[in-house]
Amino acid sequence: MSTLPPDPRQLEPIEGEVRSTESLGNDVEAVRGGPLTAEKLADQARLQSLEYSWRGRPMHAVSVFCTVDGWDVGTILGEILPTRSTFATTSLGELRAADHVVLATHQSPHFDIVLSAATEEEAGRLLSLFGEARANPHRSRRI
Amino acid sequence: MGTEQRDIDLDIPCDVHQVDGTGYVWTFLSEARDPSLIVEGAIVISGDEIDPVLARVRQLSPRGSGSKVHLEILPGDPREYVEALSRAHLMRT
Repeated sequence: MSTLPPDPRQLEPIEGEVRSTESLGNDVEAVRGGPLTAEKLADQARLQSLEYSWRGRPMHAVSVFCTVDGWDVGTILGEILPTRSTFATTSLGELRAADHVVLATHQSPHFDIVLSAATEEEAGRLLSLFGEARANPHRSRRI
Repeated sequence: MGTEQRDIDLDIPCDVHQVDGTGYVWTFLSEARDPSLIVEGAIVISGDEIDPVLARVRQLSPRGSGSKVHLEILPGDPREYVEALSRAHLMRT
């Protein structure tokens, strides 16, 4: 695993991957599949910071899928996250109230939630905004 | 809820939420347990220890001092593939 800090000049600016700056309602839900642990979220934030920059600095971010453009929690779980045994949701309102920047990136309904650092502490704060983990009713396995 | 962690040797872990403009999940080759297994077209065990997945390596792209790997997550649970192969006597025990 690479532990060297990335040179921001070699990172891809995420600004080029932001598909929309449309203002979305606070009731839009953000869905994250399991494992729902601070360790897992911090690890993704670390990997993202090795690939993307945001405002000229490495972007520590956690990806989610949101209920936009016709997607709802059920279709997200069934069509995008059927391999996840658990999931949790929060709202854009909750994320914004906690001062998180949420970027609509790549293809809908993918979004990135920016963190200040790829630490378990920061990831834990984000995780605390999500509701309790629930079983994915659209899990692809019959068990 | 089936969240028991198991001793699984992933070929290359991935976060299935980490999708880019290609539509594929991406990670870095440096995350692989044995990078020599991660070649274009290869079927690998990915995901995580709680929810492992089968994936096909779609592309390796140079990035800085390493490589970015794009993965196509295959449908279903890996154990379903094992069961199907076993039914056809394609699994060696």
